[in-house]
Amino acid sequence: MLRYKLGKKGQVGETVSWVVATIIIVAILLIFIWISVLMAKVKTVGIGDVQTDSGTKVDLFAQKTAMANQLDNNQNKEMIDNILKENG
Amino acid sequence: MDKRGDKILSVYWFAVIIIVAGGIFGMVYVYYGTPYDVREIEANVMTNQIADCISYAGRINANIISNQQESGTDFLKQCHLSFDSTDWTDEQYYTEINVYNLNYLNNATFSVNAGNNNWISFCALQQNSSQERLTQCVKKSFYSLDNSNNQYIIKILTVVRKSEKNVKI
Repeated sequence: MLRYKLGKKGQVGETVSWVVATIIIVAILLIFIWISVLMAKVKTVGIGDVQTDSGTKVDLFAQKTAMANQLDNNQNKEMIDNILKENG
Repeated sequence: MDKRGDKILSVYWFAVIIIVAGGIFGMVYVYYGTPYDVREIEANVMTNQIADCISYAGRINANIISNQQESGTDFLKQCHLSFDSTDWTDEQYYTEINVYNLNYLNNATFSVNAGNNNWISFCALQQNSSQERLTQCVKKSFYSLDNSNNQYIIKILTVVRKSEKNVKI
């Protein structure tokens, strides 16, 4: 009788460890699914990802403004820069 | 007794394998089921094309600016752009160009718009992160000169919608 009771206790302990192991597996899976959801949300290719062959980033609009500034030795450069900054 | 335990254990292992496989399937489905959102680049490429069309090497294209009555369609033709697409029933793009003389910043010297102007209202909603996926709006401005060295500020607004192909709705 005592042997039977001891055997049952051993089975309960083993079952608990299997249940805990299953919970851990499911929890890890859920964490990975959550990470993939977060990663999927940022699947955006923006202008910040664009580079030239030399690896430098080029702002076409800044270049255009700089070129026009050079053409007439612009006296209003500061004012224009402020206007452009306001407009983004 | 042992045999019954083995049976239960193998069923349990099958269950675990199915759960793990399901989890991996879920991860792959979620990640690869979401399309890449390339509208920002598309809007920037369009803005660059328009900017090059209006002003090149620091000088404004006089042909475009001189025609005050120019329609959006004519403007697009001159800039080698077409907003028509067989994939969509309605136009998915909108662009608005305003050229201001530096001495009269309140009134645009030249103004033209083309495309579907329904999308412009979504630009204001972009501030709200939950609605930022409706459209992609790119606003750029630069400085240029005409042949008489008059100074101009050119403002370009470009809107791309195409939400269905770039965002999981």
